[in-house]
Amino acid sequence: MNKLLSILIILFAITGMFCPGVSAEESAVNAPAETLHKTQTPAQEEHFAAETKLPQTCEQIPDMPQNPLSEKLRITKYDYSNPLKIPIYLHIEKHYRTNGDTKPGEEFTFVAERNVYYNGELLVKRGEKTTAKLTHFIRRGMNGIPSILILEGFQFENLDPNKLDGKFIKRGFDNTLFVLPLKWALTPLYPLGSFSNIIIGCEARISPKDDIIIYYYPEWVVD
Amino acid sequence: MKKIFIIIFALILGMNSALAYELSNEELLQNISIQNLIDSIAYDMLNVAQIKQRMIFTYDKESKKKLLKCNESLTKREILIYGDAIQKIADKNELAALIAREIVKADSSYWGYFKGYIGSAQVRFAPKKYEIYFDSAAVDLMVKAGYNPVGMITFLHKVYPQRRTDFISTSNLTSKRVMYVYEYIYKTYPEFLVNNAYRENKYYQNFLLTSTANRAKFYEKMRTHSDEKIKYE
Repeated sequence: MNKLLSILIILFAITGMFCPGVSAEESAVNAPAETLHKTQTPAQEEHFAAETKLPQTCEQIPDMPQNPLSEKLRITKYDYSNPLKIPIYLHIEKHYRTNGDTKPGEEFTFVAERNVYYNGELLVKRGEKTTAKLTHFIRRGMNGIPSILILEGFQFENLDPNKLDGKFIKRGFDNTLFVLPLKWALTPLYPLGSFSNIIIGCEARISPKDDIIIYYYPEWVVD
Repeated sequence: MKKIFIIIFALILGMNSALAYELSNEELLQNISIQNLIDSIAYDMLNVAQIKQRMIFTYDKESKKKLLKCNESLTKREILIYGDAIQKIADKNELAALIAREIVKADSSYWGYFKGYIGSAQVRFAPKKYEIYFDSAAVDLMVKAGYNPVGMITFLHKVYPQRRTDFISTSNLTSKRVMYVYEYIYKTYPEFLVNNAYRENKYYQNFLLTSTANRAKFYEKMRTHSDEKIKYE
């Protein structure tokens, strides 16, 4: 019996040593993309292209916004060697709380709380208003996940927007802080732990009392 | 019995040496060139978008892990780009799309309490909620770094499989995600669709073909100036 067992083990080991590490199917999947594409003949490719080609105007419907924003955003040259940063204190003009109607694209108005000087020059005057746009919004959800607001595009009259740390992220209160310990505590009492999933996170709020600080880097070279 | 153990031990030792793998010079150079390309695109994006969080990028050719399951992005801020993913990349825009998505994910791992631990946990157990944000923020990143965001559409379209439903699922249907990216580009960077460099691209054409019903819904929404959220299929 022992001999039979040892022969089987040796055979198994030898076949394992010499068999290829990757199966034929796997190697086909892992083959470079070019070799896979070559399985289609040029005639088939032409036919496919002709069949699927849509009219040039298919995406150009009348109300398409013409917004050359991307060219303004483009930075081609940068030098971040100087770490000097100047805080700009802001507060929101009106209290805001996220809700079901919150959508990216909304504009928020902020007011400067203090004068901001650099080298004796007034950069931001107290009371100066600026707007920021809600670029992304993550809705609150189960397991205590809060709403998240991401505001960008702060603009001031005398400041280069490329030198502004102009991203403001506001999260609602994280109920996950309670959900996770509750879930762990209730897990032995199956299925009570799963009920903690239904705890919803909080909405994000921005109050005029909240201090919002964004930083300006005057010595950065950004072009 | 002793003999059997000795034989097994000898075989295990032999197998290890037989499976030892040495990189040839060509393979090594190829890996270095891919790593350099990834680093070049990634650090350019970080600098241009002025992302102040630290993260690194590692090309992992040998890994057979599930495609794009880069959880290290959240825990160690090490973005792993697997060889499997690279094989599906057709151009620099698509590579930029892959990297940009992971940069946004790693950046978000710094949010929230306990130095981002809670925020990262939320992304881990409810990725569906964050996927759309990662995709659209990655589009912003691509545009800032000078890449064509339509590459994100072809990238998602080629790489992610299509499930039957996302009703009880940790991720959205890929067709939905691609449509949200299309919608985002349409509203935010329309010039890329008006002068679409991907018009003749077969993957993009396939996206147009497979998204006909969804795009019809979206165009109708734009025509009627409706604010309602579209239920993409």
